[in-house]
Amino acid sequence: MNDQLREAPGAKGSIPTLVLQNISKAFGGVAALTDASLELVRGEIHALIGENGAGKSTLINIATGVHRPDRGTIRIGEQVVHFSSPGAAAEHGVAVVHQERNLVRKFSLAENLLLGRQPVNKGLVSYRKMVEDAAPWLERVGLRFDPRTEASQLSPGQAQLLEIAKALTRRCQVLLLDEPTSSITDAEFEHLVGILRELRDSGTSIVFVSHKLEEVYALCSRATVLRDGRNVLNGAPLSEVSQGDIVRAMVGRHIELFASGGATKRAAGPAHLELRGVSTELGHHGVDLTVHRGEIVGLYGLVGAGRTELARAIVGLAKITGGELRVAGKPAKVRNPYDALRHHRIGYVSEDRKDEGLILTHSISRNVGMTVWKRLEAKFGWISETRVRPHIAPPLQRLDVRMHRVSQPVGSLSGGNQQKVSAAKWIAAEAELLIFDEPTVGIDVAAKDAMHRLIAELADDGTAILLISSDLREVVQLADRIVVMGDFRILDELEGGGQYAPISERVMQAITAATLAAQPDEHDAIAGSPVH
Amino acid sequence: MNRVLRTQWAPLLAATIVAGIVLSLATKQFGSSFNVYTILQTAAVYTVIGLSQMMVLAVADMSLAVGGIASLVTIATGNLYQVQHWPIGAAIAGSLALGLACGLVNGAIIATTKLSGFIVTLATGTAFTGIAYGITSSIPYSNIASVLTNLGQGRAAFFSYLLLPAIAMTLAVGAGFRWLPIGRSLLAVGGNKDAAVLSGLSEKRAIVTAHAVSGVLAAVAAVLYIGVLQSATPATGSDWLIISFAVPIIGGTALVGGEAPASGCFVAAIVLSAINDALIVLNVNTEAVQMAEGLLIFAAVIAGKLGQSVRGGTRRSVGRPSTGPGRLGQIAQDAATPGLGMP
Repeated sequence: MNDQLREAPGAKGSIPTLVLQNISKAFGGVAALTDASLELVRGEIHALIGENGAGKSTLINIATGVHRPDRGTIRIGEQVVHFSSPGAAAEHGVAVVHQERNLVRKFSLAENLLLGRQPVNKGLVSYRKMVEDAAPWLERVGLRFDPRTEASQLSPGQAQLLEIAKALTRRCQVLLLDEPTSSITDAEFEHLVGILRELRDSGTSIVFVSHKLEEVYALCSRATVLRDGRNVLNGAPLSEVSQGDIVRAMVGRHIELFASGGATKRAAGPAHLELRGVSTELGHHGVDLTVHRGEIVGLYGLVGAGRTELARAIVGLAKITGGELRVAGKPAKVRNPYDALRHHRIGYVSEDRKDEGLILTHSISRNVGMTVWKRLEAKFGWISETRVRPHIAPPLQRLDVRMHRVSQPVGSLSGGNQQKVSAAKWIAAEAELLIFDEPTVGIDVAAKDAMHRLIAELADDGTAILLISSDLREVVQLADRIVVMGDFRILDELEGGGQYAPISERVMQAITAATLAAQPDEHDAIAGSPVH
Repeated sequence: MNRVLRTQWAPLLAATIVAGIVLSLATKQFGSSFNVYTILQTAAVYTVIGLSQMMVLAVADMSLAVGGIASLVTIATGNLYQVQHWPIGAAIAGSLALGLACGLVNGAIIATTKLSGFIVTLATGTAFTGIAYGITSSIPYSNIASVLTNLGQGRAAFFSYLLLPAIAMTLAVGAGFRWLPIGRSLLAVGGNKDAAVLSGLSEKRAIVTAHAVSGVLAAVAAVLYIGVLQSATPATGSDWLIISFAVPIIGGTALVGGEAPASGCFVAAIVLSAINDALIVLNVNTEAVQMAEGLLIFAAVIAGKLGQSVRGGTRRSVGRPSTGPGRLGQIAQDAATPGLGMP
């Protein structure tokens, strides 16, 4: 139906394809996007950059018909369109490859490629035709597999290529890649780059979402940067902006937040957690990290640096394969999060509050009380609301959780209040070390401020805090010490509490230096040979 | 041949055959032509019951109403033939249509309310049984058409005639999943709902179809069982729940959906039936027979898990799936799996 549009002739590089203009979108009163724009032209690779919670995913979801914008227009070429569903966006030639792999693992590559449109002969699925039809598309993205191979055999990077091929079979003109490189190897990335360039040269417009700036510069011609749901850069040519400019655009914050933090120096107590040359099964190597009682250590790095993974290893969710982990001065082995809390007094406030931090259908009191049940049961032999309440009321009050009553389900609270409940749970547990993983992502400014105060107060009271954040300003404001992480290693360590500008400069230097030093020495190790 | 050896049920079948040979040497009774016929007669009905459940498992749902539908269909067949004096062909056709209708009701309720199949079929299954008892006032129909009796009791040496419809159903279901577009849709929805929906397949349609076909298969099993029992009683189906799950699970059907090995159902039905029979021949009491069934399910599932990890089919990622296993882990993984063909 849109053949006319698809085949619209014209010089590449100037014909607008997909244009999102002044898009605003709010979820439950929290603005995710405010007047955000993304303008694509034919045959370009366009970077979409922003921190977690900056609004990239929302923008992509709007471009692909998953969400509808509250305000603003979407145009394909000159035509204003309204995508009522992902199917409608696909009809207009807009395809997306999500981070989550959408493959049917038990089906062959060919069938995944043609899912829902398997060739049929006399009412029966024709496997021969399916293989024939699929082969050229697999070839096109360089997947040299027998089309009959089961999809479960693919590595994440190969699965990504299969999804790109799938988008191509649908004759998409606009291809959105949501962090395509987050879980693929360097060699696979090189390969992906080649494919994307070919597509670009044949007229496809590609949106490339990535946190890795070197990749962005290697591949893209223009960049749109989002921060707090607004455009900081709108289609700026990358030849004219430096990596530093992009980072500053991404990270800089206008809003002045709670600003004591590291300014008043805390007297740090004894070390509660020490990592000495720790390696993990997730790929960390030689990690040294110490967190003292009454100290906030900020663990900064771009997404994918291995910070969350390190936290998970500390609480026993991933194996430590080398080095030593010491708790309160003694070598310790943390088996699981339960063990971490019960025996080592380490609590982990997850970044993913919906999936890992809270049980949304349960009441506030049950969520907060969860961590103290064991303790209370040990004393009294049974658990009742009246026993639990005195323990959960103070942290809830302290965090100023906006609620009607404690029996209210957590799911009925706003994002910010949910995050407070998540934190209250660990305060009730009286942990001596709290790991906060991106505590302020996706919550509004006031809630963010409250969270900052809370973290500072906890440290003042003697709790050891490990603060994982992609928000550098937050780290600089709160942390007594800043540890910079990149590519699963510690890159640098510096004092907090100073001026933002010099600290951010040094942090950026550490990260850029590390990415430049990263050698593509992994190629030989993984080249592997294609089957068949 | 290779494919047969890799299936989850291959070791079970081998064990059963070996045990069967040992038993027939040890006791005269077990290996007798009549005893083998009894095993196969039961296995035929088990197969169709298992297929009925497998249809629903394929879309990652479950049905507790297989027995309930069977109860209602049994009564319908008896009533239409004995009371309404329909010709037996018409009575069977009517009964199968009733099974289809029951399945459609289940599927439609699940698809529209988004309630889990467990809850919906728990309710409807109980209701179907209730209706069956209500219609008959608990009194079975005893006038059974000779066609059904001949089919249910007929044999050529050890070969029960019931195997014919059972094998036909197995082949039909297997072929449907393999060759029909709707069959592929069912497996796609069961295997990865998001991928299927994003590819333009309808989840609702898959769920309704799965339950509808499941209803028909439950009806087929019920009609076959009338011939075995030589009576149409509302009690039919009351003990089918465990069998309906045991057969597909032992046959290698994953409870998470996306798989439907029909031939596995057939083999598992024979294994289950043979074990039941062996325990009876060996004079083990009934409670122990049930316990053995339970252990067998357990063993089959564990064997399946082990088989998976031995074949390297499971790729477990530690941590959040979205972040992946990190660089080094990734490299290790890639070294172990076929790599990209670099141009």
